[in-house]
Amino acid sequence: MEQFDVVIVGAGVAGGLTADALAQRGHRVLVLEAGPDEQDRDALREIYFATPQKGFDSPYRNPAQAPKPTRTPVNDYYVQKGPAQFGSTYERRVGGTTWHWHGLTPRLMPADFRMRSTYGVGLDWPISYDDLEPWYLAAEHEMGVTGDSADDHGSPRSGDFPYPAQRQSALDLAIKAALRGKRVRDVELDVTAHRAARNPEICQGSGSCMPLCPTGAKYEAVTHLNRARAMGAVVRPKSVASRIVVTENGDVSSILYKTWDGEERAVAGKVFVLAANAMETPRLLLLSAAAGGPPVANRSGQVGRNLMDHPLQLSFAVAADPFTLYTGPQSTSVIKAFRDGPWRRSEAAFRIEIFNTGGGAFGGPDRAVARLIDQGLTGTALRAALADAAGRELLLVGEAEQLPDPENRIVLSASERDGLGLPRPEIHYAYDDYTTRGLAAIREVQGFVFDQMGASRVFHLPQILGSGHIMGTTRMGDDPASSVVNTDLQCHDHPNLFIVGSGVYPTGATANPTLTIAAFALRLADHLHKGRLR
Amino acid sequence: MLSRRRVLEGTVAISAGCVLPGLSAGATELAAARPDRAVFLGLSRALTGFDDLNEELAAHFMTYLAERDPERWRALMSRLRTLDASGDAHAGPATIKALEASEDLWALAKEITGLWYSGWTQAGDEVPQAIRAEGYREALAWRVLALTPRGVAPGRLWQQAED
Ligand SMILES: Cc1cc2nc3c(=O)[nH]c(=O)nc-3n(C[C@H](O)[C@H](O)[C@H](O)COP(=O)(O)OP(=O)(O)OC[C@H]3O[C@@H](n4cnc5c(N)ncnc54)[C@H](O)[C@@H]3O)c2cc1C
Ligand code: SF4
Repeated sequence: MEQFDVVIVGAGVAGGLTADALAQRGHRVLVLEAGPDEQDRDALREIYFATPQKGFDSPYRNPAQAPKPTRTPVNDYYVQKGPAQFGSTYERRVGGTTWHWHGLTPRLMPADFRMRSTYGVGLDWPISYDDLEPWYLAAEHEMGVTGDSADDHGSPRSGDFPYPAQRQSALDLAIKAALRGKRVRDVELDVTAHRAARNPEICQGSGSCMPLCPTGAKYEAVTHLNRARAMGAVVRPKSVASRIVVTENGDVSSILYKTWDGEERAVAGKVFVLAANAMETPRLLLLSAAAGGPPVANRSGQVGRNLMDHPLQLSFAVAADPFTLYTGPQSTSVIKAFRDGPWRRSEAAFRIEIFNTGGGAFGGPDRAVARLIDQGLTGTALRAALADAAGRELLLVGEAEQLPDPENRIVLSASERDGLGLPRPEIHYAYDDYTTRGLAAIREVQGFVFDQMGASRVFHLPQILGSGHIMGTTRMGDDPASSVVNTDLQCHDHPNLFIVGSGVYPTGATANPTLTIAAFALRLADHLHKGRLR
Repeated sequence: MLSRRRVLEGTVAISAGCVLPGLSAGATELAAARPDRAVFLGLSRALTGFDDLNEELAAHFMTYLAERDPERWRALMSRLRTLDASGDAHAGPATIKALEASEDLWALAKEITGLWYSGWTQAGDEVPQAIRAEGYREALAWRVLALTPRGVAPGRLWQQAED
C-alpha cells in the first residue's frame, strides 16, 4: 500500500494551506481530490462567457463521479427534506470553492467565541479569539489580504495587513455620505472597505470575482496547492475518498478512494486530515460507517448536525441618480455595525454587503435590457434608457447569523446515489426564530439605507438564499460526548484523524468563514509538525 | 464554429425566390439582389441605435435565426425588402413602425435587439455556444455603459481607477 506522512482529503483552501505548510517543512504529503484539476483560466472563462444565465458556478463542470450542488440553475444533488431549502453550494475540483468565492476575509470578533457566556445563546467555543489571533495574521499574509491596519473592525490585531484597504466605489462613498450620523435600531451606521484577499497591485476591477478572476488578483487555493506540489507534495485529482478505515485501537490505518473509473485504491499515512468542506467531510465520515465499519468520529452523534449558513436577504431598489455599476469588485464595502451587540440575545447579528454589480450580479444588465426592449424601445432611445436604468440598480445583501441546531443536519440519502454509487447528502434544514428575526432586521436596515439615499421601488427578495458559508457539521469542543474534534482539530475518537474547515465552528457568527478556515489550517500544520509528525 | 460562408449562402438561397407584390420590377430586382446580410444589418442598426455593428456576429445571428425558424426568417426578410425597396441599407423609423404592426415579426425584431444587447435572449439556450461567448463579449450593453464586459480586465488597476 502507498504510504505518506500525511494524507489530506480535499484540495480546497483548507487542504491546500495544510498541504503547503507541511510540504514546506519536508513532510511527504498526499492530497486526494475528488474533482478534476483544470486550471486553464482562459478556457474556463470561455465557458462562463458562453453561459446564457450566468451564475457563480457557470465555468465549472459537474462530473457524475464528483458531483456538486449548483445554484444557476439549482440542481438536485442535495436531497432536500426541508422545510427550508439549503441554498449553499461549493466546487469540487483542485482549488475547491475558492475558484468562485468572492474573496472577502473578515475575522471573527472576540464575542463570537463566547456567545453563551455573553448573550446566553448558542455555545462558547473551546478556544478564544486571542488563541487564534496570530494565525489570523499569518493567514492574512498567506492569502494577501487588504485592509486598513489602523481600524481593527472590533477584532484586535497584532500586526499589519500585507496590503492597504481596497478602494471603495463611488456607490459606497455615496451611501457612506447618505448615512453619516444616521442611526437605525439605535445603531450608528458605517460604510467601510471590506477586508478582501484581492491583490490591489493586480486587481483591475473586472467584476467577476464570482465566478472567476481573469487576472489572478483574487486569492485562490491553487496558489498553495501548486506551491505544495513544487515542494514534492502529490495532489491527486479524480480520487474520491469513500471510506476511512479504523483499527481496533482507534487509529486510522488507511483511506480508501475511488478513481473516476470506479477502481478502489487504498493509501496509508501517519496522519489523516479531512478538508473536504462542511458538507462532504461529514458525508465521508458517515459513508465510512455505512460501509460496514464502526462509526467514525461519531461517538457524540454530532457528525452532520448543527448545519449552519449565513442566510442571505437580498434587497433591490432604484437609485435617484445613476452610478457607474457593473464594474469593480462585486462588493467593496460592508456595513458592519450589526455584527455584534446586545440584540444578539434574541436575534441574529448580520453584515450588509453593498454590491457594485447592479441587478445582474454575475453577467450584464440583461434584465434591464429585456425590460426596455419589451417596452418597445429601440435605437437611441433604448441606448439612453439602458444607460440610465443600469446605473440605478441598487443591491444590498444582508447575511444573517444562524445558531447551531442539532436538527439542522446532513445525513446519507437512503435512496439517491452519485455517479460512483455513493449515497448523496440528504439535508434537513430550517430557520429558527432567532434567524428569522435577524432577517427581518436586515430588511428594515436595508430599507432604511435605501430611504436615506432617496432610492425608490424597494424590493426585498422573498426567497432566502444561501451564502456558500457551510458550517458546524463536525463541531469542535472539549467534551467528546458533544463534539467531534478537540481544540487541536483532532477527532476525539481517533488520535491520528484531524478535520480542518468551517465544519468545526461551534457557532457561525457573521464573518465569511474562509479566513478562519485558513487560520485553522496554518495552526493545524504547525501543531502536526511539532507533534505527531516530529 | 459556424461557417460564415454557409450562413450567407444559406440565407440568400432561402430568400432568393421571393418576389414581393407592389414593387416596380426594377426595385424588386434591386431589393432581391441585395444580400440578406445588408438587410439584416440595416434593421439591426435601427433597432440597436449603433451603426458600427460586428458583421461576423451579424452573420452568426442570421444563421441561428434562419435555421431556428426558416419561415419566420423568410417572412422578416421579405417584409424588410418591401419596406426598404430602395436598397439603401438603413432601415428607419418607418421600418420599425411597420414591423410593430406584425406581432410575429415584432417579436422577432425584439429578439434580434436582445441578441445584440446581451448576446442571448430568454430563448437563448438554443443559441449555439460559440455565438453566445462572442455575443457576450460584444454585447452592446457594455458599449452603452462604456465598460469592458464583466470578466474582462479593463487594463487599469481598480485601486487607481476613477468611477
Ligand atoms: C458564491 C460563493 C461566494 C463565497 N464568498 C466567500 C467570501 O467572500 N469569503 C469567504 O470567506 N468565503 C466565501 N465563500 C465560502 C468559501 O468559498 C468556502 O468557505 C471555502 O472555499 C471552503 O474551503 P474548504 O477548503 O474548506 O472547502 P472547498 O473549497 O469546498 O474544498 C473542499 C474540496 O474537497 C473535495 N472533496 C470533497 N469530497 C471529497 C472526497 N470524498 N474525496 C476527495 N476530495 C473531496 C472537493 O472536491 C473540494 O475540492 C463563498 C462561497 C460561495 C459559494
Ligand atoms: S475584481 Fe476582477 S481582477 Fe479584481 S479580484 Fe475580482 S475578478 Fe480579480
